[in-house]
Amino acid sequence: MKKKTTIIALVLLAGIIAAFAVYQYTFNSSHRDIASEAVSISISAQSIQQEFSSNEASASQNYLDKVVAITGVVSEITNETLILDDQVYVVMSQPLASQIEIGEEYAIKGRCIGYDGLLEMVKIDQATPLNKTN
Amino acid sequence: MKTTQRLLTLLLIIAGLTSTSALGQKYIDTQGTIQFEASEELFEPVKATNNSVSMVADFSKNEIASLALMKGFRFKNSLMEEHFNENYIESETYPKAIFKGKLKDFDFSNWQDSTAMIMVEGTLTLHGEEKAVETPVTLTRDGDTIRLQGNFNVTPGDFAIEIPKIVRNKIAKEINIQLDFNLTEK
Repeated sequence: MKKKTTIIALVLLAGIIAAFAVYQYTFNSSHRDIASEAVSISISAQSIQQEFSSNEASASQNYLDKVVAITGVVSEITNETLILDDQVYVVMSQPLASQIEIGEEYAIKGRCIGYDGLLEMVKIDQATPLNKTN
Repeated sequence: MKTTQRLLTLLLIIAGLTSTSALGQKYIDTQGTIQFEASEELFEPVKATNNSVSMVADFSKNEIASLALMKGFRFKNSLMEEHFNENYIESETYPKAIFKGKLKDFDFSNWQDSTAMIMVEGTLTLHGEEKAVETPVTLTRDGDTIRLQGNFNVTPGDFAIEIPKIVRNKIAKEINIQLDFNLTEK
């Protein structure tokens, strides 16, 4: 008899833990960590901008929400953003190191969030620098 | 002699053209903020912020345009963000919101004060639907920067966004949208 109660108690406990885990997983799961995700497409700033400006719908299908690696020449820089080749607008996830200079070639990895028709630039967020040696 | 005269006129025309374009008074912000909130008391806040909204304001024509990418809205809760993108705003199909409007009765070139309250009238397009928006905004001069702030309300119905019954009491009927832009001359 005592054995039966222990078993029931254990099963109940396991059930509660499982329910809690499922709840945590569905309702409180953490955000995507773009920095640790693998790059799905590597492309130059110019090519991705051209793809978006010539056919936004198909480019959106290819790039939206994907982790992309983009290389270009830095044309503008602020504390947390940089512009590559005047064509790709990048929002970094951490403030940029101060040694980056305008005119320098630079590579980043980040999430493509779409095309800004006002600025005529492709936008990337949650970006991190890519090492040139990689 | 005649050629010199012609050249002079041409030069004058060119000078005239360049000076008018220099007086174009185009102001731009690429890192504007839009925050919206549709929270109901006692329930988890329904709130998201986009920190890379662009705005172009041409004060000589009193025209403003602004563009926000839907994927740029970040929620605290990742599931909420997913639902916002996939079920409500459908950001794969409608990736952006665009506002185009006019500043009413504003004379920028004679603006001397440090702040001004201006009516903005325009159209907000998102989720494939258009809505006329009329709202006051505050302009504040801070050195070379002009700060534009304001807020207005919309409803999901304005943009044909249906809120399922099961979550209807967790999402406010009216959604408050807050704007904050720091425009600098370009």
